[in-house]
Amino acid sequence: MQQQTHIQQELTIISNTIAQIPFVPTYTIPDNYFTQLPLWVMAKTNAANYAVPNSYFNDLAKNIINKINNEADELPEIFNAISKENVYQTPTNYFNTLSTAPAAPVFEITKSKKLKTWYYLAAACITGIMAFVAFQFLNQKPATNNERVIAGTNVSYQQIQNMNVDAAIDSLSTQEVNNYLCDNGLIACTDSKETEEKLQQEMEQLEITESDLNEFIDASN
Amino acid sequence: MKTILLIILSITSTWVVAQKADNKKNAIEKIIVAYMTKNLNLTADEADAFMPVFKEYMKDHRTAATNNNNDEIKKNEAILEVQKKYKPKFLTILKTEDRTNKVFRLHHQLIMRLKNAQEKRRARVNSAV
Repeated sequence: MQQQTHIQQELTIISNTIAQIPFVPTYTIPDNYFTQLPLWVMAKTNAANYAVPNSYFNDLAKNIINKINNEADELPEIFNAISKENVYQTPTNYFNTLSTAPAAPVFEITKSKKLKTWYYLAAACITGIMAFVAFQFLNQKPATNNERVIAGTNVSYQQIQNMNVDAAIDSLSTQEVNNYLCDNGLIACTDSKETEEKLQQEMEQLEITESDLNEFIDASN
Repeated sequence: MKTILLIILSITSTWVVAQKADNKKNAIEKIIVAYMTKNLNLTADEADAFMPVFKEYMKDHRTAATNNNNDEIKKNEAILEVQKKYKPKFLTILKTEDRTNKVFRLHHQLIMRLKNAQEKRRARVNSAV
């Protein structure tokens, strides 16, 4: 072990007296101490000759019971009520046949029929939804210039070309037109809503349908 | 398990109802898009460039009209300002003055057409009463 120079210098600053104590390692061990240690331990263990008498473990329980019976007179009376029999016993040849003992019973988890039906229903629903979504995505063909949706709208150029605008306007309900005009400040909302409700009530009373009105409008045009 | 099925069913039904409401709301919007595209003879590319600007115009038109609903003169002035603002934008896309002016005429015509249809329905019911 070597003394570090900087540690010595620091120690001199802190306490010159301590720094002057010579650096001599105090704890030393013989050469090859740890190499030889297991051999020494084993040699000492063998020399002590630790051994048990023949049939020590076979007769252990019996010996203990005998000792208890012999000392029973010295014990308090309450211990006399305890049985003197050896309770720790195993069947004959128990340990010899242990490896061939029957396996622990396997408990099969069974589900009720009703629960199974719900599982199948849920699985069918989820599968159906997944199939629908997959179909929607996979069935999309690349849009041509006319088929693609016009920017800022949700309608394609093709759909516009095929649309009959006059018929589309006629197919709008009174309520839809009213809401649009009202929301866009094109008619007074309060008046129009009251008038509209009145109109709807009167239409119901007179049994006039939207298609009747549209026919009338077309005829008057 | 029942809860999961109920959640799936409620999500599906909500989606269907929302789709129907959305379709109704967009019906007039579709008509306006078709009316303008057809009457202005827009190509698909022109429609692509025109419609987002026209939607902005309609939005500003709505704001101008609803904010001045109590004063007809102010309302018309506000709408006129919106038209002045959007005319150069439309001209860039539609190229000619004629087509640009037609945008405002067509929009006005469509509004009048919807109003007339409504008025005629009322008149029809009133006459029946």
